[in-house]
Amino acid sequence: MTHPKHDRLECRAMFEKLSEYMDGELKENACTRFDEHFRDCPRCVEFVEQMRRAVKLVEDMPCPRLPDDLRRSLIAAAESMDDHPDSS
Amino acid sequence: MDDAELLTKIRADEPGAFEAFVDRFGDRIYGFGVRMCGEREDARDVAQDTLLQAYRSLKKLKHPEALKSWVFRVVSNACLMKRRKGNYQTNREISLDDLMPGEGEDFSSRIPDPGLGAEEELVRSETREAVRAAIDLLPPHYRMVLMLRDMEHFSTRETAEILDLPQSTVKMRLHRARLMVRSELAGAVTGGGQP
Ligand SMILES: [Zn+2]
Repeated sequence: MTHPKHDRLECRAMFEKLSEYMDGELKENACTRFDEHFRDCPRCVEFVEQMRRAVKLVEDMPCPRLPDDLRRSLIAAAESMDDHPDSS
Repeated sequence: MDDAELLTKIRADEPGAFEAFVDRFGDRIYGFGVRMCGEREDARDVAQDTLLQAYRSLKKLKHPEALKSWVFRVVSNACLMKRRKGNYQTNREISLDDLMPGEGEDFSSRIPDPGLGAEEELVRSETREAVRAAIDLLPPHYRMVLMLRDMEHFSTRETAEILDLPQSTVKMRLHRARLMVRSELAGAVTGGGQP
């Protein structure tokens, strides 16, 4: 349910700055404005929670491994570079 | 070995210096290439060119603390070059209005909680697949910022330096990228033309 004082423009303002809020990049008074809004707006709270989960899932993605054959050919290429240093 | 020690080893042309460099950055450079170019020859080319080129130019690097930024500067440029050779895509910015969720959308769950460690392996691998697909769907100029910020943990300022962009652009692209990933993961219908 929408809070009597609830202002959808305020949700929109939150929505715009959400990543900066999550990353701690906002000035203190802007953060306070977020926190006050969240007290009145469960929908925005849920939205932030989903954003945090999404970011955490991205952060936790495993990194693909450099294939072994590529690693070997790279090291061979670097060694042959050492044998023929450029003249500069 | 920290970055400063690695750089000293590289500068002194010590035996094994390149291998140590590949051990430090190989997977991440290759991973970056795979996510930017897809799991094709392109990713291998990017990794190969970047690791050799970065290694050669590292000798000129004055500040060891810049080692990681420097390496990612080289790899992002290599990815951008690959893209220019391929399909031309504009770096159009997506309007925030197009990413606003609909009034009726329910945010209460659906995205798996990464904190719940006891999840079954099947659920975990399905979730990873969904995250990978969501990242792949991002426009490349958003994907690149998301990877540097949320996967490689560069700061806004560092990312701006790596990509030669204003910090405000980095923030804008990161936010849109995260919104799009969230929307994909929540299975939300986007662009439904809600009021
Ligand atoms: Zn709200």
